[in-house]
Amino acid sequence: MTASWPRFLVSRALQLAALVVGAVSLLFIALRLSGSPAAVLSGPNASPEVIHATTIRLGLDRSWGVQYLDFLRSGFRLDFGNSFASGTPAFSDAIHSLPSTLRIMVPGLVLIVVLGVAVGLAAALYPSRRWPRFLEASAFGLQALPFFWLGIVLVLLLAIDTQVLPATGNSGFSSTILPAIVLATPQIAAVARLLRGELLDALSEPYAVTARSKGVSRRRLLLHHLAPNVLPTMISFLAVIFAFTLGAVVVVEPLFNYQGLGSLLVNGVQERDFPVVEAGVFLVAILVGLTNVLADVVSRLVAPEIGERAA
Amino acid sequence: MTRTSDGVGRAPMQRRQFLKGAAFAGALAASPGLLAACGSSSSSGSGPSGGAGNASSMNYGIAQALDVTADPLQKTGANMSYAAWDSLTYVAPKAPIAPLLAESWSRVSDTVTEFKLNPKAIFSDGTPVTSADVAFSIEAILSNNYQLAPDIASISKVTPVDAHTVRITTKSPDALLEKRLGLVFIVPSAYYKKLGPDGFSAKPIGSGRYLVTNFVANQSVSFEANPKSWRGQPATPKVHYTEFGNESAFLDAFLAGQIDVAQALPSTGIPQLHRDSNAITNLALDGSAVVMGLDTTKPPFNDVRVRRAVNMAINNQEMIDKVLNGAGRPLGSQLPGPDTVGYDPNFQAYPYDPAGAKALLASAGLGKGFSTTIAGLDVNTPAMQAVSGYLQAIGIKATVLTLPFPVWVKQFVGGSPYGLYTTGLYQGPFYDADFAFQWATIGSGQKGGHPNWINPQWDSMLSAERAELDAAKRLKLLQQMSAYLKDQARYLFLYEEKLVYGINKQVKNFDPSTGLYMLVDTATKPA
Amino acid sequence: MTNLTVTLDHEAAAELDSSLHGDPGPSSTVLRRLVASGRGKLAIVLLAILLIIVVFGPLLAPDDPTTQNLAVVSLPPWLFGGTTAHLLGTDQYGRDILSRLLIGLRPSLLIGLGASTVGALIGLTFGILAGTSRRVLGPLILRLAELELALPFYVVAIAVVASIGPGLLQLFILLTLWGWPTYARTIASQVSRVRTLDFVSAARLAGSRPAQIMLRHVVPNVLAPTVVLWSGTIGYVIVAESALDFIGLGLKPPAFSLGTMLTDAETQLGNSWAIVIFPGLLLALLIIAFNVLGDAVRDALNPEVSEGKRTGRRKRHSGGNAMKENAT
Repeated sequence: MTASWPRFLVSRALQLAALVVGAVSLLFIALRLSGSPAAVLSGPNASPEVIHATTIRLGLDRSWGVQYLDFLRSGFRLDFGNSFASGTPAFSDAIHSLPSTLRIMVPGLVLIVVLGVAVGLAAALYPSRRWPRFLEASAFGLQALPFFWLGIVLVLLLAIDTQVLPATGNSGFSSTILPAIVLATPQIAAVARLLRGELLDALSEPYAVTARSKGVSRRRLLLHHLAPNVLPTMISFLAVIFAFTLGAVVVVEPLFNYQGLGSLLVNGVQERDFPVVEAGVFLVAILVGLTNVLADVVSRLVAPEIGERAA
Repeated sequence: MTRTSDGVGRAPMQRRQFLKGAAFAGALAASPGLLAACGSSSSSGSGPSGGAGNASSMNYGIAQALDVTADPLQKTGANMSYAAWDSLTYVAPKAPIAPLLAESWSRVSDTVTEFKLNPKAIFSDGTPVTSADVAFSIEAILSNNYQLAPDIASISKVTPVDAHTVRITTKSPDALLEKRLGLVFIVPSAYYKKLGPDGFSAKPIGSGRYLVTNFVANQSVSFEANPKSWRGQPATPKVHYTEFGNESAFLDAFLAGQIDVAQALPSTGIPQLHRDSNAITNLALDGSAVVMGLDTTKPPFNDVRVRRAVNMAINNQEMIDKVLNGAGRPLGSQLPGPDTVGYDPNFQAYPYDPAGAKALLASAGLGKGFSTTIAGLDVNTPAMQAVSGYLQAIGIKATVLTLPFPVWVKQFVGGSPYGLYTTGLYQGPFYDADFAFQWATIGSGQKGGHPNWINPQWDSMLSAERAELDAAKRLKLLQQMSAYLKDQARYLFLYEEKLVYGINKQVKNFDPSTGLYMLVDTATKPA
Repeated sequence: MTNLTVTLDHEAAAELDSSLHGDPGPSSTVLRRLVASGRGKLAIVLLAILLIIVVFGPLLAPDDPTTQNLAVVSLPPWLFGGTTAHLLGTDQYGRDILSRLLIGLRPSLLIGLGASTVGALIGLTFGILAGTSRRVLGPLILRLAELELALPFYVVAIAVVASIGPGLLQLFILLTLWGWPTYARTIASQVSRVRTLDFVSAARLAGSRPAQIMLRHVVPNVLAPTVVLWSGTIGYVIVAESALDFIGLGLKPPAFSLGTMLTDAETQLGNSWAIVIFPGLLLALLIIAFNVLGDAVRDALNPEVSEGKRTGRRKRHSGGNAMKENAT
């Protein structure tokens, strides 16, 4: 018996909230453990009194409990304070960096879906032919490459040796190509294998076997009848891929000196810029949570019974 | 990972922060070009070249942090302060101190100096620069304990005598007073008081050749020519500084032609710069002394023989050539460089002698070698790595540890618990050895500090040279201090940095010899 | 990396069902199948090569990997204009690349292997705990696992290292943390399924103590999927280890691994291609070896699959999508 929509949505929302609060709380603790930025902001010539004054100004002298409560309260208002480095509100810094990151993530995700589905479908449609297996093996091999190494090699080949694409920076569309490729490569094989597995499983279901015996072509069966059934699984998987890709930008963006959320986070951690790191992780947690919820909702819409199982 | 000059990736901000740290140590450079242009005569309305055929705006790239405020009182030797504000005096590396806002000065007594302000000096809103403004600016820095305060801490009182005369009293005779004043940029006191520091930063007013038209914290600043400039118009009416936190992005932006002049490109980019036919690369000594502080309070570096041994283990010239692409000059075991007061041209440096180093270690009972740690900022990783390699050759296993900037800063002030601590001592602002010498015994007196060298003799030598008003005698004192420092091997002496300037071929009249702080008043490029 | 965990959840769940319905057989049979398969043979060969390098690395290395020689920086490999003294060239500090490869393999392999094994043990323990305690502990563990799965690993990693600093131990802890949620969730669902099986209920009725039931019935049934997960994740842990080294959160010089060699490579792109290409190739080989091993182990543990071709005659798993089975 499928749960009603309101119950479903509420439970999802609660899970999302718990996730975000949990994640950011852990982060709060981790950052406070790592050392205070007051010394650097006061300058090395500063006397202990000046450093103390800066500590007070930043609110870092209060007990952790007080800081935490304050943090939660302002977190609800999306107020994480001002970045220690730039002086502007941390959350707005994070939000402003998001479009750049999306400019490499979205093409990356599109690549993953298109190529992954293509390879997976081919493998399921023609399991005995050589070329789908070859494609699969290639995807598998690509997946084994350390993705950041792939990035370096591509930069070497395409940017340094031949100057085809820019190696670094945010200068327009061409600088999104390499990062997107590097983000996409490790995931294509996973999508392909999952899809192939799901489709082959579906092929062995009784109704599929019956249809085949009645003369329905394998191809028609796959494309018209079975594909929709595997959608919920694929959509859920996509949400997970989104989460992973969002995490990978933390490594990939600095690799290409690409200024987006990933670089912002990394720099924030380096400089002990607590507000920026907190705001950034908050944003990441929200995005990941929302994507999961979205995936669940779409699954449910597409195939309520199967989607319910997935829920 | 950023393709920075350092091995380990988290470096994007560090270089500019290191330069920011350098600014903390008080770095300033002057320009002979400006010297020529400045002076008490007011110039005609048009600047040196100006006009026909030249571009009306130019782009500069800097690695130095622009900070969160435009207010020059809160900074030390920031590039942008030079464009829009003036100081009382101007200091050039090998030239006598030049007048700027102050057209002349004289010592009234050992501790009192009287400055006569140039009556033609006015702010961009038309109001004159008066002694009240001078007093306000200095007092604001001291009373708020801004970054510059320790560098002018010798000043006890500022007394306006009349609108254009001001007397500055120091706590004790200070040989460097006029040079220190080269760091203080004068703001209009009434206007500043009315708006407060934040308001002033939003709408700044100065007496320089340029006005600030748009300031974005830690990102960029735009300037336009100040029509009321008392020193005449700059050659290019509009200039734009962009801060690059990331070395590789900086290099790429310059190579892509997005910047006309880039100050402080990474040394790893030198091969690429040489290959680029549109760029002129200029390596300018910047008055720094990159050294590794040795912890003399603990074994093994409490033994002077060990400290001398490590000095003999490093082939500085080879390291500069191979690891820094030539962007440096071996210190030769003394902190001041050829442009700095206190330099001894006949100094005996530690030789590169690994065998001798090993013998010294053996004589100290450490023939089997030992383990230690080299700590420093990401930006120094190549040098730290190279030093570690050299030390390995004499049996010392040195682990390289990169410190996050806040941690490094703490150790800069309070002393470092590690055997070797990498730092740059900038003699920048006035190219005077005092500026580096003052850090040698730092840390004592700090709560929770861990001073790495406690040496009362050094402290008294420092006070003596600061009070010595005779230049020749003072030079001798400074040279003696260098000899003492070398003999005590307080540091592992490495190299003086050369700042890498990338200048587009089309740019004319840009003088890169000013070192850490650039002057853009005279540069032009074709339209 | 969460994508892996999902794939494995799904595939592992499928395998679980198969192995429940059909006993994989005694270990000797499993091993025989493993060695007989094409994948198994390939994995064995690759791993043997890597093992030789790990064990005999220092002996095989022509040079000391950390000895610096600034006179010969950035030499190309022998056949590309270099010298025979440095077959694969030198890095920017003049160190021999071949020697560094041979020695640098060890941390990459050993840390990856060690962390994934410890992670497996932790995950197994938590999984069993979660599967047996349905009231408080179980859901708590599963929520924790979900929380960790949801946050991108590298984001967590940099925040953690920001607080406790980089280093070998921290690296190990992080990598161990990376894997356990997958094990926990998969094992938990497996355990809770087993508990409802007839023979377990019978044993309980007959008075066997919970511990006995655990040992005799539950554990053997979860070992297979654990091994499958373990062999499948080693490759990914190795990549994660290199990535952490690469972004500066792992080993510190003079310690080095293939990952830190790639960090060096990044700054030397304009100067030397050897330092870029070779460490990455060796790392890829390492990962491929373990991935192939993982596939071979999975096939060997699943009799229906390895006996026939992979034509999809696996049983459809009945328990719903393993990824989401723990919701509500």
